[in-house]
Amino acid sequence: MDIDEVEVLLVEDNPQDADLAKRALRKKNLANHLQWVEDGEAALDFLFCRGSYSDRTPSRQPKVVLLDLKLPKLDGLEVLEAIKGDDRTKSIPIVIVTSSRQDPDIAKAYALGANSYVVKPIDFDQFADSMANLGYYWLLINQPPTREGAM
Amino acid sequence: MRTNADLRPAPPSAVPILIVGLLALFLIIVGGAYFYSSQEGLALSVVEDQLLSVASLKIQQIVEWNHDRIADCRSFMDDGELGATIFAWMTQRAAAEFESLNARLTIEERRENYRDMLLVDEDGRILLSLAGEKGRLEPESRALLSPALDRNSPMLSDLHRAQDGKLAIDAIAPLVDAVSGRRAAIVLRSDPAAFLYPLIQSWPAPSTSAETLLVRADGDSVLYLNELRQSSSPPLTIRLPRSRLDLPASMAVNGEVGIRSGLDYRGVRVLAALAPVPGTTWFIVSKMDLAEATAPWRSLARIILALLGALGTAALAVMGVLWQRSRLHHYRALYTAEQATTRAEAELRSLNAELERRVGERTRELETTNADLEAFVHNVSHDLRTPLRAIDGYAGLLFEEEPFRLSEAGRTHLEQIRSGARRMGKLIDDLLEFARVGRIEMERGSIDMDRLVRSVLEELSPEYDKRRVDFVLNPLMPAAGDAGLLRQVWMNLIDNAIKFSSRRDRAEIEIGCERTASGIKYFVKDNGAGFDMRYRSKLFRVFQRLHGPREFGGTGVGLAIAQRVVERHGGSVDAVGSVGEGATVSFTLPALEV
Repeated sequence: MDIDEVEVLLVEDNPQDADLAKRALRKKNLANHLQWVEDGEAALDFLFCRGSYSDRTPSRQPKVVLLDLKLPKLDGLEVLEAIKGDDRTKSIPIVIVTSSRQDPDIAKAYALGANSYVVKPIDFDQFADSMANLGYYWLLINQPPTREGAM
Repeated sequence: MRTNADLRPAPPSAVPILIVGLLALFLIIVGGAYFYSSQEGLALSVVEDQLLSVASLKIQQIVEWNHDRIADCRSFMDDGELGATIFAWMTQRAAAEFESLNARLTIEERRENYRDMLLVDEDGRILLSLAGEKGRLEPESRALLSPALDRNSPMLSDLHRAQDGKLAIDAIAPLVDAVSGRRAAIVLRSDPAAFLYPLIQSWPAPSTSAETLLVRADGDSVLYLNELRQSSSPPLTIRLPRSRLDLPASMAVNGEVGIRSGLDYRGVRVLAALAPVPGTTWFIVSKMDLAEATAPWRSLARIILALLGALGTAALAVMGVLWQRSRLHHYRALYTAEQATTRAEAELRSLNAELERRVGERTRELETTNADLEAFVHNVSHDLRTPLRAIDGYAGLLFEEEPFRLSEAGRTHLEQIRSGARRMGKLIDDLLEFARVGRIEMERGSIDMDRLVRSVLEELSPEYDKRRVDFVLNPLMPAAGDAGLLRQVWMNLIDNAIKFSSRRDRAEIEIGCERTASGIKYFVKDNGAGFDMRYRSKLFRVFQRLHGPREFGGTGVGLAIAQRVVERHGGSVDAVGSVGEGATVSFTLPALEV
């Protein structure tokens, strides 16, 4: 997969969750252009085309970032803040992925500019359904603004 | 906190001290007046006694002196030889008799300190005078000759002036010749200034104004017979009218006796003792100026008054001291109380500050703990869910992707694994919810309970078979509180009712409310499995279930959540029921303030 063709960036430290998420999206045929990174630093490296992603084209950003809030090193909120605080990345839709509907960080994430959130239910079937819905919306229905429009 | 007024002792009353003080003052005044008057009487009586005793002493001395003169006369009268010599000389005028007579009289004169010795005939012609008097005897003495000769008794003349102008008192010794019947008299002339006046004038105690007067009546006048201390006029020259009744001398000659007060010849107020001299026409007036008489008393009175004044002042001072002391005591008590109050207040303040500090500390600790707990709960839920999701997820994948490589039993086991994982997830969710309803900030608003319950029923409608459950929905009174939380209460209660009545062919669930003493009681009544009232208290505890999981689902948190929410609203929950006959779970909220 060409790294410039990434449509979904999945930021998830737990490999099983990441695997399940990928499977859920794949079931709906939405995981073809998915890039998975395990921590916040890697996510920012990817988005700002630095470190191991320095050869990526900055103008080709993913259509959506699925961001787990609970991350090692930089946590999800810090990653969110960095993304929304930078003109190059702030128009990328960020979907918060969280374990609990009652996560107080959801409110903080919205305040920082998160576009949506999805709860990871324990029931895989439900999880798969919500992931699929999410993918449809952000990848197919929601058209990202042009760079000019975002300015 | 108590006010200072509570601690403050009442100010002392001045009344008792005032009463005691006035009583003391009254006693001092009354006692002082009594003492004063008694002392005054005593002081004056001392003077009066002195005057009386002086008067009587003088009288006695005068009387004695007079007796001596009379006695001298008698000794002449009784001397027959002298009489014979006198009459012989009178007859013959012989020089021998004259010499003998002259010698005898001279001896007597000198012996008794007479001023003169005279021999007179019965008509008062002077036959012989040692002092050389000639002619006739003065009328005052001559008038006494006949009575004396007639009675053959010596007589004493009044004070009078002799021919030489000097004062004289004559004692007349009558002589009668038994043979011839001829009569003559020897006159023993005394000088009052030599003995009588000094005797009268002498005063037994030193005095500036005391003196004794010898007076007699002289027609309408009173005649002063002796030398006067406060007058340069010679004796027998001062006459004052007897009609002057304020004059002690007048009083005396008018017959008054004893102590009298009056104005003396000088017009000065005096105190006088009056008494007649027996055997004479004389009266004694022993007098003293009232000023001097009362002088000791006045000085004593001054001392007494000063003492009384001092006593009164002392009483007032004692009163003042007592008053001061009681005030002092009062203010000391006040001060002590004030200090105690101040101390108590300071202690209270420091206690308060300490308490506030500790409360603050505890609050901060609690806040930290709460924050820690929240983070913990959150992490736990997150970390517990992740593996559960993996379990369920991969079990599901296994089931989905390779269904034919599993036996029937294998598929069943896999299903059990998945259901266990989901159950675990539900437990975690419920537990988080239980923590949340106790923690989140409540909103308070008016709640339409009818609408709330209908929306709950709507939400629950997928969960039950409408054909099997009959709902009886009574009108519900509105309530005040957090609609979201109370919705959860209804949700849990109705969900329970549906769940526990699910084995009935026809489940009946009644929802209603009633007014009670403590507020409004909302209830959900079912005809389901019911419960044993013995375990009623366990009903609302977390994870306490009265039915096995095989009978009915659930985590045992729903009622605990309901209780928590209701109690946060200031209400209470209750449940009644019996096994197999259904249960009524209710919650009571405080009535809306109208």
